[in-house]
Formats: sequence, structure tokens, C-alpha cells
Amino acid sequence: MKIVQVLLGMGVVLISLFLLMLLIKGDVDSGGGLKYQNSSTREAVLEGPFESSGNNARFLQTEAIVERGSLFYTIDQATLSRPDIVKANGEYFSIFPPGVSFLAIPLYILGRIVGAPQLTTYLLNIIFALVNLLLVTRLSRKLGAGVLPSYIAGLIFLFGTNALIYTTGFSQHHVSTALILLALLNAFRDRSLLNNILFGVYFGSAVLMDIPNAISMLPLVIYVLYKHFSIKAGTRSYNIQLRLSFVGLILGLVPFVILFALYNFQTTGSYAALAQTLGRARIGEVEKIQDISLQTTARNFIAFDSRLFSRGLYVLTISDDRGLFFYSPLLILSLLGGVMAYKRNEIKEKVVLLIALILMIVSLYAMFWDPWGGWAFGPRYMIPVTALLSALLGVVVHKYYRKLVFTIIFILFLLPSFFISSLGAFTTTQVPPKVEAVNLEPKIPYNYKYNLQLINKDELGSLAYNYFFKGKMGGLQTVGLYTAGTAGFVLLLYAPQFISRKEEINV
Amino acid sequence: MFKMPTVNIPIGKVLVNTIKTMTEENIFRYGVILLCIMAVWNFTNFYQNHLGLSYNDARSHLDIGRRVVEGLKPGLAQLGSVWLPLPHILMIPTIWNDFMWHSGLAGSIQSMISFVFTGILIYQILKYLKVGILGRIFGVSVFSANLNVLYLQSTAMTELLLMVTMTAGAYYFMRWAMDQDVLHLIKSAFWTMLATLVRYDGWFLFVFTALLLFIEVLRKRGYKTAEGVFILFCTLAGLGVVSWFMWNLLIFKDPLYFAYGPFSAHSQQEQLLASGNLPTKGNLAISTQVYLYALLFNSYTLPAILAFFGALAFWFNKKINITLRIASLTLLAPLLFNILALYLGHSVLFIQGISGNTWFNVRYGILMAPAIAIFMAYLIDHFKDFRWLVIGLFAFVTFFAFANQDAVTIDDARVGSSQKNVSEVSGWLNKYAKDRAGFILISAASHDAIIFSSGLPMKKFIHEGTGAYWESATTVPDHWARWIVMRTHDDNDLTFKLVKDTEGFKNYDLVDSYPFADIYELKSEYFDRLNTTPVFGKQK
Repeated sequence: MKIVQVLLGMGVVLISLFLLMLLIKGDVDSGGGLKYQNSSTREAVLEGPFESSGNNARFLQTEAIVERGSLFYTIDQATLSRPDIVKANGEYFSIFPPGVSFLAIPLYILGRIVGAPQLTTYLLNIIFALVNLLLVTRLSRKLGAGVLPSYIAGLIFLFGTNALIYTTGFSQHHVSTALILLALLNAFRDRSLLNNILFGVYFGSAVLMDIPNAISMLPLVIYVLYKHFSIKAGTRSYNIQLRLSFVGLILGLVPFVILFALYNFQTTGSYAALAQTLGRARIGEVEKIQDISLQTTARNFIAFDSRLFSRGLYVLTISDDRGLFFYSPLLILSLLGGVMAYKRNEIKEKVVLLIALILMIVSLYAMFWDPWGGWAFGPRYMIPVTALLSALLGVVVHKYYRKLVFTIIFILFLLPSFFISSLGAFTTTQVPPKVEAVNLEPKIPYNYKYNLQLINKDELGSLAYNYFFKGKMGGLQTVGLYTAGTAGFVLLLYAPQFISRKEEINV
Repeated sequence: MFKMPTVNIPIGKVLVNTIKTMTEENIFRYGVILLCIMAVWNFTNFYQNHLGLSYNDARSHLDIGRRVVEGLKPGLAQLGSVWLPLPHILMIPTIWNDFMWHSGLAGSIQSMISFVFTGILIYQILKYLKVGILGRIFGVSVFSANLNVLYLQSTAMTELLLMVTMTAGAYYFMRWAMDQDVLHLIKSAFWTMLATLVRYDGWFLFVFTALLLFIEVLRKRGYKTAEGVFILFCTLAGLGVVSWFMWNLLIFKDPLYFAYGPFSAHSQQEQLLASGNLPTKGNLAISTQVYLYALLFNSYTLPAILAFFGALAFWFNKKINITLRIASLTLLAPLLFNILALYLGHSVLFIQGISGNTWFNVRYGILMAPAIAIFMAYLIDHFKDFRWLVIGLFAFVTFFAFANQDAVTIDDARVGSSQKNVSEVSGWLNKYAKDRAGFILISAASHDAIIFSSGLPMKKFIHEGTGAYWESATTVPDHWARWIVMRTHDDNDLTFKLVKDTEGFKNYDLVDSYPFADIYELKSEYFDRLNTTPVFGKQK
């Protein structure tokens, strides 16, 4: 059985890899070569790999490190990365923490050898998306789902949520999600020295990818620390037992703290000063760009504000511009999975921890002044939450996928979720939030309807489409086929169980 | 893999048990002391940063209390007709003192005491609901670690007094539901009666509780008993309402003067309706939405959501006596009342970005704070697996609330429709009228905040409540008022309405003009016929 499982896993990963490769952003230049691979063909055009400053700032930092051995941008690099740049001591650098840029260095070097550094560097997110597919599958298994439902959960995360489009860029989302999932799975384990070192590594590196991860992962940190204490009642005294393996947490974390401190020192001039605290800079100017929202309130203002909670919660869950359930209605069924998993005594503690993680991330970003994530496709800050919800969905599928009514509901929710995700993945993340869109001239929609508009005009960002199919196949036809492929892949895994009507198919 | 050792820290059972017993025995006492410290600390803080008197209404409440003991016509009749009298009656023992009046302490002290007692009531309710010690402490923390509660308990506003009387009414009603002890029902009626003398929300509580009581007793013991218990409850609980009708009949010759008189909320809402600024009237969806937003902003949203689940867990717990579950609905009285009042057009509430681009009366949302605290505490007690998760999330959101000084009630008071920057007018009066003889003619209904902020004694002002002085001064102003403060060309300002066509008004110069009022001063050549001392003696 083991070998079948390994083969199944490999099959799922390889097919998913193929499906993801079809989405890689790119175009051909006038000479028939690959565009965007050097500075002369690099431009920030809609649907291109450089459409978002978030991608650019990170990629150009990698480029600066490899090409010039520097953490700082040239003026051209800074121009392409704005407004996500900071200026200190006369040098421009990225406003983001450096984790993603550091991690992609080997891929950039590989790309330089084959003459496509942008293309290979951006593969980082595809690699981590596949890792996340396996981690969601693993998590779903831990929550009690069978092998096939667990893979279905992983595939739903990858192809049925807005996680799909963020495989095509160079953002922190998939790496952060992977580290959060790894830390969660690690937290389920016994607190051995090695597990603690690994947990420290996951936490430290997650913060190096994205600062808010330090808060998002707080429930895990608290849980892991709590696991080191136990109380045993003796005849005359209580014994509080502290497991010294907690030292592993420090051992794992310290290298990343040192690395981050050194990075800060090199860039901001202080070990403790983060780039974000300096504020964004304009090219050629030293002044900080004051965010408008900072000026609109008389109260002390930090990025996360309890007053914004109700607005943020609405935006992130059910709104028609960034609502999680609006973009992926399939995940509504996950709520049922939470209840079902919680009812199983042997995994109750794990489920509570998972729910704590979900609620922490939702609460954190609900209080964020920009829950929309700027111009984005769907609730991009919720990608770790979609991973966790997808894992819970595996539990629901496991329980009900022999039932006809559930199967019908499942398919009815699955198809729009997969179609919407594909709309984004073939086009752009640059969708304005409603608050901005209503003031734009000419008007553009503030949700996936914008992506649909682009698709209908056959304006797709996919390299494969632009190289092989442009002019031969319509945009909508392409997206339709892709949706059929990804949804069909999921249903292919779903079908054997449904048809056999057995308790569980052993693979 | 190398197995790491474990460190053992032994703690004697005797020591642990001693600490446990001491904590359990004294937690209530320590909690009360802590609440008292919080009350005083926050009052001092808001007094020092001058936010304590930001609400116009706070200044008006203090002026009403002051007019009972000082002014040209002091007496109980100064309690007026619009606002219910209990908050002002409670000020009487201290408001005579200038510091107590101008610091706002005469009004804040009752809010502070109410804050402490509401905390105690929450603790007691949870105790009788058999919620554990952690849940009880958590419930009190949810209530007290809210900047909106802490701000309002530092002001001379009526929210905390209403909160304590309503919560006490609900508490004893729930106690009655548990043991059917008639003494608890009488206590509930007493506190409900007090609530009816604080705000009209209390009237709803009275009717709502009476209805629940009647239905419940009817269901269990038949009509005869239900009728008797209903009458028993209403006799005491309705005393305040009947007294208020009588008061209005005696003083203003109309038992419904408070409801339909020229200064009533109804009359103000009619003006808003005419100008199209009362979107909640007749629209249940908007009324509900507006109040829920007020509730969410006051509670930082997450606690309200979690409390909702706690309430569901409580109401659907079949192990809990059904009568108690029904009685607990009285905790929701503020929610139901406010939605109903908005729907009927008896109340107005603006939420920035939802209805109008300003805040107004958003503080009404805080009245659900005790219910939120109780149901959140119940949630963590009922779902023990989620206990630390809920506590952690609450702490997390509260941390950001304090870090950002998130108090929507302060914004309501400072930048919403509830505030008026009257410092220019009041500063002028303090500078030029303080040490000079003569009265100031002013409408208290329109400019009570100016009267308060001027720092001048009440007897310096001729206003609607000064009887013969007001009648004389609005007929022949130049004989009675050295200064007139009013909004020129606005008939809503009674002073302008009454003096604009008088002969005497021609003898005044406009000496200064400000956004909220203009100041007129009598020309010096008419000083010889001006009365500058009280001459009417004791008026009826």
C-alpha cells in the first residue's frame, strides 16, 4: 500500500506541477525570445511578472544581491520597485523583510546560467505551492480525513482558492503559508529537542518572510511553550515539570534573529529598526510618504486598529471585493469540517489549535488598515487561512463523499471556486479594492469581474498561452478548459470513492 | 535522539491550597478594590486631559443639577421635563460646591460608583449562573477593560447609572427565576423603577420585564397567579413612570409634556425628519444596522460576536431552567429598545460612514456591555476547550484598542454632533462679564454648554427656568439683561425668537460673533435703567 500512496502522491504533484506551469507569467519578445529576462525588456505592464511592486521589490533585491553583492537598489531597480522602497543613509532598499529574496538566490543563479533569471526565480512560489499542497494533504490526514479526501483538500487549496494566482508572482504568501503549516504540524508532535529546533527555524524564517507572521503564529508559540510544562501531584507537593528541550526553540530561532538584526543594521543602520518603520520613500526625495489614513484620525494610530475590526471582518469574509467565501464558496463547507473534527476527542486539542490559528490570522488582518491588501486578487492575507480551511474540507469530504446530495452540493460549489481562481491566475492580481475602484476613471470592476473582462478581450498573462495558443484559442475558452482540467482532476480523485460506495478505498 | 532532562519545581500542597483558598475567599474583595482604583484613576486621567466634559450633555446635566441649588430661581422645579430626574437628584448633595460642579465630579461620582457596582453585578450574575471563578473574573474584565466604559464612567453622563440600574433589575429578575423568591422580584421592581427615572430605556425594561414575568407565571401557574404577580411587580416598578407623568402634570400642566413639549426628543427628531436626516424612522433594517454598528464600535466587535455565541450556548442549554433563560432576555433590553426607538423615530443615532458623516449618540451602543461581558464569560465556562483561545483573542483585540486609544465615545464627544466648541463664547463671558454687574440673557435649552463653560455662577444667567426674570427680560430686555447670548436669525433659539421684535433689543450692540452664538451688550447710555440685582425674591 505504501508504494501506491507514494505513486499517488507523485502523480498528484506532477500533474499539479504541469497545471501550474501553464500559468507562469511571461511573453515573447519581438525576436521570439523570452521577454522580461533582462533589464532592457523588463517593464511593469499589467499581467506581466513585473505588474506588482511587491513582486518587483523582492525580485530586484535578489538580483542586487547576486549581481552586485549588495542589498541596495540601483536607481533603475528602485524606480521599478516603488512605492515599496525605503531610503536610509542615501541608499534605496526594499521595504519588505528579506526572507523571500534570500530564499530565491539559488533559483536566480540557476536562471542566470540558463538565461532566464526572472523565470526561474519566480519558480519559488510554484515550488512552495506544491509543498503547501502536500502540507494541506498531511494536515487533513492528521484531522482524520482519508488519503483521497486529503489530496482533494490539498488540490482545493491550490486550484480552488486565490492561492492559485499567487503561485505566478514573487510574493511571500506561499512561503509564509508553508512555514505556518510546518509549524502547526510540528506543534502537534512531541516536544523533543529536534522538533523544538525545527519549530524555532519555522518561526524565525516565517518572520523573515513577513513580519506579521510573528503575530499570526502566536497561538502556536504559546501552545508549544505550554507543552513544556506539566504538573504532577505528589503526596505532599505538586511538581511543576519543565522540559529543558525548550532550549531547542531558542537554538532554532537565534540564527534568524541574528540574520535579521544584521540585515537591519546593514540597511537601516540599526539592529532593531525595521525598514517599515522608516516609511516609504520617493525616488530622489528623502521625505517619507505619509499614508492618507494616518492623517485622518486624531487618535494614536498603529497599523492594526480595533475600530476597523467590523469593516475588516466583512471585507475579508463575505464582501464582494475581497471576501474569502465570495471568491471560494467551496470553503463554506469547511466550517462543517471544523465542527466534525472537533467532535473527535483524540484530535480535539489539534482542532482547537487550528481554529485558534485561523481566528488569530482573521482577527489580525481584520484590524489592519488595509485588509484589501492594496490592489490584489481576493483576500491575499487569508491564504494561510484558506489552507487551514481546505484541510478541514478534507474531513467533510471524507465523511460525506459517498452521499449523492453532498456530491451535488460539492460540485456546485467547486466549479465556481475553481473558475474564479483560474480567472485570476491567467490574468492579474492588480484588482483595485472597492473603495478605490468607485473613484477610478475609467471605471474598472473591483473583483474578479475585472479579470473576466481581460479574459474576454483575450488578454492573458500566461507564457504558455502567449507562446502556443494566442490567436488560436480564445481567452474564455482557455480558462474554461483549465477549470475543466483542474476541477476534473479533483473529481477524478473523488469519483472512485463515490462510485464504490465503500467506507474508504485503501490506497 | 538525545532525550533532554526535565527540571522539577516542587511546590508544597499546603502552600498551593493556602494560596487557592485565599484567592477564592478574597477575589471578590480584591476585584472591588481594583474596580475602585480603575474608576478613580480614569476619572483623574480624563479630568486632567479635559475630556471628561467634552459631551455637551454632560455639561447640561451638571447645569440642571446646579440650578436646583443655585440660580435666580432655585428649586426642584429646575429638574425640568425632558431628561428624567434621578441623575440630577443624585447630584444635589454635591453640586453646590463649585469644584464639584465645574470638574464634573458631582455627576461623575455616580457614574464611577455605578461602574464599580455594575462590575459587582456581573460577577454576581455569573456566580449564580454557576460560572467558575475564571469565568467570573473574565466577565468583569471584559466589562471593565473597555475604554468606552472607562470614559463614560468618568463623565457626568447617564449611561453608567442606567447600566447599573438595568443590570440590577435584570439580576434580581434572574434570581427570582431561579428560586421564585418574591423578595427578589420586589428588588427587581425597585431597580427597574430607578432605571425608569434615569432614561427612557428603563421604561422599556419595565414593560419588557413585566411582560416576560406575566407570560412565564401564566405558563406555569395560571392566570390568577400571573395577574397577582404582575400587579405586584408593576406597582413598584411603574412608580417612577407614574411619578413622571404626575410631575409633568404638576409643573408643566401636561402629563405628556416630556414627550411632546418644545424641548422633547420627539420635537428634535421632527426637525431632523423634516430635513431628511432621520433615515432610521420606519426602516427596521437600517435601524438594526445602525444600532449594531454602534454596538460593535463600542465593544471592539470581536467580544460582541463571541458574546453572541455565548448567548446561543446559554439559551439552547436545556440543562438550564427555562424560566432563567427567559429572564436573561432582560439583559437584551437595550438592544431591543434602541432598535425600536430608532425605527419609531424617537431616537437618533449617527454612525460615521453609515448614516451621515459624523458621530451622534453612538454611546448608546455601550449599554450592551454588561450583556456582552456575561455571555462571553458563559462562553468560556461552557466551552472549556476554547477557554484560553477566547481569553487570548479578547486580550489581543483589547491590546490594540488600548494601544490606539480606541474609544468611539470620545470621538462622539469631541468631533461628532454631540460636541460644541463653545470656548470662544464662554471665554468672552468669563473675561468681560465675570466682574461686571448685570445679568446675561441666554436660552439654557440651546446654550447650556456655554453657561457651564463660562465658569460664572448660575445666578448670573436669566434663562427659561428663571420664571419672572425670563418673562421680563424677553419682554423688555434692556431693563434686565446687560448681555444677550443667542443665535441671531434662528427661531429655534428661544431668546432670539422672543426678543428680536422688542423695542429694547435695538439698544444693544453686537460685540462679538461666533459659530455657535452671537454676543450682544447693552449700550452704556441705557445702563441707568438696568436691573443688576435679583429683585423678585422667592418665586413659586
